[in-house]
Amino acid sequence: MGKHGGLFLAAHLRMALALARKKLLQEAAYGLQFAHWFVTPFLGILPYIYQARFFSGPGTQGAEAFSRWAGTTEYIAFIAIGACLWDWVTNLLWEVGFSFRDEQEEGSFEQLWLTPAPRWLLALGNAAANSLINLTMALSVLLLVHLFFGLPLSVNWPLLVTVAALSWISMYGLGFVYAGLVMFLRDATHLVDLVNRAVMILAGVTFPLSVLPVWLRGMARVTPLSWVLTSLRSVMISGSTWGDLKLELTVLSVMAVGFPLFGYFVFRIFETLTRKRGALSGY
Amino acid sequence: MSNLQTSQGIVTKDLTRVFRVRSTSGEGAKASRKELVAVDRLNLDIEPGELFGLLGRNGAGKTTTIRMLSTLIEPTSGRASVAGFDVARQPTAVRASIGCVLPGERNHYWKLTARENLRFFAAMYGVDPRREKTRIPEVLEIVSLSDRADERVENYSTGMRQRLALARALLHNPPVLFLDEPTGGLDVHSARSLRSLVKELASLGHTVLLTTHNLQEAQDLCSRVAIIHKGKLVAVDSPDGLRKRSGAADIVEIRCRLPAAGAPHEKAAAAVSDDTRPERSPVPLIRGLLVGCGISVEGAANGGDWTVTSKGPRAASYIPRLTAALFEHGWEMVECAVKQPNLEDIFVEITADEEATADG
Ligand SMILES: Nc1ncnc2c1ncn2[C@@H]1O[C@H](COP(=O)(O)OP(=O)(O)O)[C@@H](O)[C@H]1O
Ligand SMILES: [Mg+2]
Repeated sequence: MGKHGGLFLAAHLRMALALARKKLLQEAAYGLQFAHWFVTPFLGILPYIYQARFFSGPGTQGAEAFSRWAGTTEYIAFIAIGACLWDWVTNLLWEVGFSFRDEQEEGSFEQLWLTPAPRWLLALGNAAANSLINLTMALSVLLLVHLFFGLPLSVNWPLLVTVAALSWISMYGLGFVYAGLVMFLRDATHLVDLVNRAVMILAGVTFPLSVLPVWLRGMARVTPLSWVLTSLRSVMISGSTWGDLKLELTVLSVMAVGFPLFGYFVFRIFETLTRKRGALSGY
Repeated sequence: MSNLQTSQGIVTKDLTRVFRVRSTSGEGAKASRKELVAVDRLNLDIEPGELFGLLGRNGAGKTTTIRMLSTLIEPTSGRASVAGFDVARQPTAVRASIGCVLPGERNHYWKLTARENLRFFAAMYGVDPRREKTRIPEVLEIVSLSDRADERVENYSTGMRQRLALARALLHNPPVLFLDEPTGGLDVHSARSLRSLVKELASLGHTVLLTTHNLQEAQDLCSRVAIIHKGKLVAVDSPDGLRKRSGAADIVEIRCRLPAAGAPHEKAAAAVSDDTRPERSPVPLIRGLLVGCGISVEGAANGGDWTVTSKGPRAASYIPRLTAALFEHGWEMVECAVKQPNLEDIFVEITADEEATADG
C-alpha cells in the first residue's frame, strides 16, 4: 500500500466526502424531514420545561429550592440544555450503527462492503453527514430555547468546543460497538431503547444527579454519558472555566482515546464473526 | 499451506462453505442447529479472459460461491484466489480487482440518480477524479443509459437497474467480473441485450464468472460451464461437450390424434391396412418401431390428442419412420418437434452417472 503514498490519503478523504454527500442527497430527497429536524426536537423539550415551571411554583422560591440541588437557579436552562444535549449525545452514540442499518434496509450494504474502502471509513463517513445534521439540530434547538425562554449565553467558547469535541470523539468510538452489533444482529434497536432510557436517568438529563439515591449516583459516575452531559452543562450554564473542569477534561480525554480504540476492536470482531457466519446481507 | 497456484483468473481449491441453520423439528418447538454444506470442496480453474458459467438449480450454491470469491463471506475451509490475490489474506486487493452484479435490484441508492450512484461508487473504488469524469459517461454509454442517467433509480425498470449494476461493476475497469444471474427477472428483450453486452465485455479481456440456471444462456455465452449440484461440482466442460456427454441427445415430441370415425382420411387408411383398426394408443406402435435403438418412449393423452415423447441418442433420425407408420395406421399428425435436452435432463443424467459410479 505504501507505494500509493499521499494519493492514499486523498482517496480516503474522497471516500469520506462521497459518503457524506450521498447521505445528504438522500436526506434532501425526503425534503419534509428538514422540518422534522428542527421543530420536533424543540417540541420534545417543551413539556419538561413547563412541568419544571409548574413544580417550581409562582415566584422565585421554587428556583431557590432548585438551586440547592443543582447549584444554579436557571432551571429552564438546566433542563433545556440537558434535554437538547441528550438528544445530541445519544444520536452521536447510535448514528454509526443507524447509518449501517439504513444501508441494510436500503439493500446497499453488501455493495458498500464490496468496495475496497477501509471498513472503519465506511462506518465513519456514513455517519459524518448525520453528525452534521445532528449538530445543526442541537444548535437550532438551543437557539429556539434562547429566543423563547431567554437562555443565558455567556460561555467560554474554546472550552465548550474542546469539551464538545472530546465528547464527540468518545461517543463515536463507543458507537462502533453498536455498529458492530447492528452488523451481527442486524436489528439491535431494542438495545437502543434500553440504553437510552437508562442513560436518561443515569446522566441526569432533566434533573441534577444529586437527587438520585446514592447507589444510582455511583452508577451515574461510571456512565460515560453522564460525564459528557455534566461537563457540557457546567460550561454552558455555570460558566465553568478550564480550571473548574480539570477532572472532567481528564476523564473525557481518556474516553476520547480509549473508546475509539475499544470500539474499533469490537467492531472488527463483529465484522469477522459476521463474515464467518455468512450473513452480511438481509435484514 | 501455500499450495494454491495463483493465476490472474480465478482458482479455487477445495472451497467449502458450511452454514449452521436453525431447524425446527416436527414435534414441539425444539429448535436445533443443523449443518448445511452449501458449497462442498469446489475446485475450479478459470482462465484469465474466460467467460465461465456456473450452472445449477436454485440452492445449488452458486451465490454462496460468488459471495466467498468476492470476500463477502468467509470460506469454512479451502482456498481461493481471484486475479492473483488470496480471498482470505488479501481481501482489499481482491475487492479492488472485481466488479460484482449481485441479484436483486435494491442494491442501488434509489433516491439518487444513476449518475450520482456512479459518482459515489467511483469515489469508493478510488477511481481517479480526472478519470472519473470520462469514465462515468463511458460506462453509461456501454450499458445504454446515457440519456436516462439523471433520473432517479426509483423510476427505473428492472432491466435498467440491472444494467446500472453492470455499469457500476465496470467503473474501476476490474479484470474480473462476477455476474450472479444477471438476466434473472428480465424480459426477453432486456435479457438478450444484456447477454450481448456480457459477451462484449468478455471479448474486451475481462474474466467473467456468470451464474445462471438457464442452459440456453450458458450455451450462448460461456466457453466453459461448471455444473454444481448440492454444492458439489458435477461436471466442467464446454456447453457442447456437456451435451455430448449427456446420453439423452434428442427429445422428439409427436402430437397426433385419430380423426373422427367416417372421416375420408380414415377410410383411406382403412383401405390400406384393412385388417385391424389402429390401437387407441400410439405408444405400443412407436415402441415397436424403436425396439433395440436405446430410445425410451412415453405417451400421454390429452382429450383426443396423444403426445408421444421419444428420448435417446439420435432419436430425431427416426422421425420419418415414425411419421410414416403413424400415417399408415390412420393417425393424424398435429405437431412434431425435436428438442435439445434441457439442463434438467443433463442434470438427471450426470447425477445418475455419479451415483452409479459411486456405487460401483
Ligand atoms: N446466510 C445463509 N445462512 C444459511 N443458509 C444459507 C445462507 N446462504 C445460503 N444458504 C443456503 O445455502 C444453499 C445454497 O444457496 P445459494 O448459494 O444461494 O444457491 P444458488 O445461488 O445456487 O441458488 C441453500 O440451501 C441456501 O438455503
Ligand atoms: Mg443464487
